[in-house]
Amino acid sequence: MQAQLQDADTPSTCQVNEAGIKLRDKCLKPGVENDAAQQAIANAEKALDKLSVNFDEWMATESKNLTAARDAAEAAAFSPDTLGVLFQAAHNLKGQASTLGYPFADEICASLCRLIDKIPDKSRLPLVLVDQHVDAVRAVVAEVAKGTDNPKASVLAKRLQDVTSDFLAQENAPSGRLR
Amino acid sequence: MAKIAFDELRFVVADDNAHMRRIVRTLLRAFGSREIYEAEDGASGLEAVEAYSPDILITDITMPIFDGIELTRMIRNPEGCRHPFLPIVVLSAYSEKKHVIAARDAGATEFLCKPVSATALYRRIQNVVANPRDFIRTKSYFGPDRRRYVNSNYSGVERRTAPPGENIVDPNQVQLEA
Repeated sequence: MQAQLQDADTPSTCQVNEAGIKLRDKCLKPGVENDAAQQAIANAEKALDKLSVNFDEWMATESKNLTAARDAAEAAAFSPDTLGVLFQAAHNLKGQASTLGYPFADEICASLCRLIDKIPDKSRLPLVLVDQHVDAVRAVVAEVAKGTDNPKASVLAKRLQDVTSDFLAQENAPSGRLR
Repeated sequence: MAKIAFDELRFVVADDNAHMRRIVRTLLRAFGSREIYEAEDGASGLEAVEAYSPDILITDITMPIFDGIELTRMIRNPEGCRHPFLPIVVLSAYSEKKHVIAARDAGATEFLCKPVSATALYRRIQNVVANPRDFIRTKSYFGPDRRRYVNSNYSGVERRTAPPGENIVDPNQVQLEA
């Protein structure tokens, strides 16, 4: 049985999520929710901590992928395909760097993604600024600049973000490019 | 009060990044789940959903072949997938509003921004299991109710008049317009 709704232009019907209710009935068990949640989360954090022995190596691999993507993109004069691969490599790092203990690499990659994504004319992508982002990630990984209390990495990330913001503001200025 | 029996939950994790799949799998196993299947692109994600009939799909957005948004749309189309009600948690480094809205409008159940944490992932799964939302069908949408709360100040036309429970729709009869 379906409901007939008043607005003929945008009719909608609502139905009970029976599958969801079955799932709830199957998987919600008697117990103290907060205690169970805290225990499960604590277990997960412990497991992640054990896994973290691999994180430096994973970051090195991702950093190499980023560098290779940058090299390929520059060799192809930032063709759409290679630029897409470069963006994806930076985006991958952005998604996992903080989990792997490298929040500044996360910030730098976020800045690089923003640079690639927000520049209106991709042919004007500044090679030097792209290089500075990629080299900064390499430096952060090489120096094992983990955590949030590394002053050099902090300054580096902030500076790249600021330069990128200024550059994008110019490129997106309504009156045209100011450079 | 109740706790989640993770050992009864079956997951598919779709992400093109092997490190991220390993992290999510590690978290889910630590929560207590024992059945976790992995997929490295949208196509194999859809295959895994069909093959393993998971209770929850966790998917990245950017993946080869087709992305997590397309995967979500395919799953929500009963003509394309046998599990249109599958809870879908989108896990992505895209935190911009447009991506969250795209995931929501494709029919995602929850959205979780990377970097992933144990607490955030647990809370999303908890919400999926403990608070299943009714499903809504419009001309262009089939998926969980996108209204998370009742807006008492809403003054527009009420387009959804019948209360949930009176509208049991056979998912096999649901058809979406292109």
